[in-house]
Amino acid sequence: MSNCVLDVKNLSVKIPLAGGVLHAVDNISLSVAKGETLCIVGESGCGKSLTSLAIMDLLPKKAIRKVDTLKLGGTSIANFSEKDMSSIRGNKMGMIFQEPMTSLNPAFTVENQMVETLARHQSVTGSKARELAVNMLEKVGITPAEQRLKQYPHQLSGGLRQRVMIAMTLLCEPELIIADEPTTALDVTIQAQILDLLRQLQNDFDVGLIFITHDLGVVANIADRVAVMYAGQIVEEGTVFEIFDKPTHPYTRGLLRCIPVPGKIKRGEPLGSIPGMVPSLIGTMDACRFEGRWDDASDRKFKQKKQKIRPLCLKDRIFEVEGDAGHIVRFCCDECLKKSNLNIMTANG
Amino acid sequence: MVAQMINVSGVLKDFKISKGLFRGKELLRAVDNVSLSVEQGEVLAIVGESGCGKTTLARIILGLLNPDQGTVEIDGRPILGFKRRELARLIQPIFQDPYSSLNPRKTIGSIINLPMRVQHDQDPGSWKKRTLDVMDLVGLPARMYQQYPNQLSGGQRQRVAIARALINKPKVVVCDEPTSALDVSVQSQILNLLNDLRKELNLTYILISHNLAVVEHMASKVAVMYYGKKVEEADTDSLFSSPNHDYTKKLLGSILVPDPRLRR
Amino acid sequence: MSANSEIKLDDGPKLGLLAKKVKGHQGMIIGSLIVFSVIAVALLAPLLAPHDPYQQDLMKRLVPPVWDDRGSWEHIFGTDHLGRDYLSRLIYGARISLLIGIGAALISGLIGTIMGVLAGYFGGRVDMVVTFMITVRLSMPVVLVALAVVAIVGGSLQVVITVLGLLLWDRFAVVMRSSTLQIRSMDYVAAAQAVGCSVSRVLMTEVMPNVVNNLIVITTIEIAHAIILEAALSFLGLGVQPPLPSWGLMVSEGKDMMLFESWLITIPGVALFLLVLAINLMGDGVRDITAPENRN
Repeated sequence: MSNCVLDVKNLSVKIPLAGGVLHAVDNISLSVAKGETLCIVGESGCGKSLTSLAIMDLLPKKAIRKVDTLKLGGTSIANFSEKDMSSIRGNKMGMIFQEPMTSLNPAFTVENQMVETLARHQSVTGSKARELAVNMLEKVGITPAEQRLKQYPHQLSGGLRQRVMIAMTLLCEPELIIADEPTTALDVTIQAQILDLLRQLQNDFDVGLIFITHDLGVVANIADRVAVMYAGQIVEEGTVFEIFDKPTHPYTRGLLRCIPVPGKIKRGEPLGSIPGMVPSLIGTMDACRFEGRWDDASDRKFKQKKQKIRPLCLKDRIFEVEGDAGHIVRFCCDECLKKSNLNIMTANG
Repeated sequence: MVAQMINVSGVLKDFKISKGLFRGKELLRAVDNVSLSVEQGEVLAIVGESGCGKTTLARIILGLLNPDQGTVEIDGRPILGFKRRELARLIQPIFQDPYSSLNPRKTIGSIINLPMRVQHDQDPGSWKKRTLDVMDLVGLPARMYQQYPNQLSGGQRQRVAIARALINKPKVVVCDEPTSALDVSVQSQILNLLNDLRKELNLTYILISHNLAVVEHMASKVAVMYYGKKVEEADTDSLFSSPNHDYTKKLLGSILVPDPRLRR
Repeated sequence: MSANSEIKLDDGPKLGLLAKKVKGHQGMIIGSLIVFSVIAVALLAPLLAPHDPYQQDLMKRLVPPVWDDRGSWEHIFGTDHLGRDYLSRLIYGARISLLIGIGAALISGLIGTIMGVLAGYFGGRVDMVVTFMITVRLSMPVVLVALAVVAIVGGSLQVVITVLGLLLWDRFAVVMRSSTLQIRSMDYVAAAQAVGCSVSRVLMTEVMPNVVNNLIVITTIEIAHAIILEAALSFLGLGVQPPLPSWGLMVSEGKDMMLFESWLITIPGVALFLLVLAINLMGDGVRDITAPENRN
């Protein structure tokens, strides 16, 4: 598929620790098409950041990555050496992180850093590089661009620094951009601006975007497709409308119940919640990951009704929601499947 | 007529910022002539973005910082007239970062019962029981009494901070972004807990936040701050339905609703 | 990774957390063994030393150690130019090194910690004054000043300890100041103030326990530093005076005979090296073990 920018199948990340093996990412698969935004949403410890690091091959040295398929724009990068990967990173695959102060080098000017990227990956130098840098800064809404080129990161506000990061990422016309919580550290008004910018740029450049976040409001505003991660697994995946209109996995439903939305609940009434805590992912993973986190009473009050599901892969407990091709749910164990009380159709419908 | 629990009038606070070597100092006006009041049992939210002065104002209300001008009164008395320990019985904080609000070298039990030790509460024999009672009230299991902060999750640490704030039954609690550093599912647990405790213990809250959805859910009155000034104040429903000031409108306009059909 | 991450990753040595602890332990175990041995030797000197370290025997001058052909078991480490048993002098010399190291570190530690913590906590004018004093102290060449003072007042054990104690506080002050500054900005300090703690209580129960880690490391460094400085001063003749068996003095007395009677400088030299190394290893280990991150 020439339209597919990233194809990942059966990715796992295990990290040996003193107390046992941490199963940080457990057999996940995802794909991103050109011009599409995939949001990976989850809370801390779910493995979303490690997933992006695994794709970029930037995991900590002790981590063990196993993947069946890892293709960037049709080329398999699963077995690339560090040298090959470093010529892709920043080039065909761009990255934007949460803290622009630590991803921009405080000792160099904006111009230095942008020109260096061009020189390294595109072999463009001198005044041509400078011209490209200026153009890109203007495209991300930084004017006057010439002035900003000469500044150091600490002279720029958080929002401006993120814009510079975005500009640097786009310089080499990447096929895929991975953004890990790029707006979490920004003020709300700036966040809104940066999200608008990203949407517009994605249109202009037709680039695939993976946007990692914990904020469902952000997801609703920027995603085309959504993958919900919990305890190292993708528990639900679908288009943004499917996820918000027909949340099927109990965790997704729980998350949507929790968020305060102006006007939705009477003040003083309790917010929906997911009781309990995320389980430890260290050691053998036989136990149910959603143990003790059910809140049937709260779920019954939830407006969205439960969907019917069809089995796709019974061994891994993966199902498809009836009527929505591509809207997938995964359960960690048979207990969960039973307790979720969903109507399971047979394979023949 | 319910008495005003907190009355802030004309508070002003400047900070000297060094402009670099040999360039002398400059005055940064963090809080610029702010006045507001909170009734007993009410929740007042102070909203604004970074640099608006809300955290500085919170510390002034807590008595941790002295204003350069203006007064803060609690229950009718100016806070400057209180001794440190007396004030501590009336107003307590809950801070944003659960990772820096607990002393890593102390056990949970000793963190929570610090107020009792400082106030020389009577009957030291009952302290442990009182501590366990308040731990139960905030949903912490008793076994955590001997544990250390680094063994607890972010949500559990915030519960410890809440327990510490409430153990001596203050009248006012200043919550400075109490859930900003927490996951969504933990946030809702903590917000529900804060609401329950307010009703049960008849508390007054001042809630500092940049998250307007949380504010709308928790607060009865909202004050908006921008670059040190209070630009608007109204009861929550009025503010959300018909904001007056441009900045308030901008803030409200940047709320991201979790509904893809309502995309900006 | 988000700051909230519940999973703590250790990107250190590849063999895992356990191996790292063992490795740390090894250094600390070796270091502690050596340090405690030296302390034991110093305390039990009268029982362990085969001879009186001050007793001269001009008939038996410059006898080589036992491993040389001409050596004997009567003088295991040989004798010096005045016929005094070297092993005995080494053993009694341990007392001097330890006394000076610990004494000087105590005095300078007290001065530096008080200055550093107060500067870090109160800031403003207090900080300005302390920083100025540190700058002045740093611009003084320690060895020359020590020499000058000793030259005027006269060398002796007490003088050396006092002089070193009054000169070596700068690193304590700098490290304690920056540690305190860091702790000062933590919310738990603000929470303690809000709870009504007095300043002294905040300093003692909230600040000090969290800066003590760094204090341990600096203390071990400064003990070692003081020991080496005393050796240097004694070597130059302006520290401890003969006939005291300071290891530095022993090296000084042996330097003229370096070529043919090399044991006179190698033996005390190796002893100094081992002691200083052991102190540093031990300090590292203690710091690692008491760090809150390792508590589980």
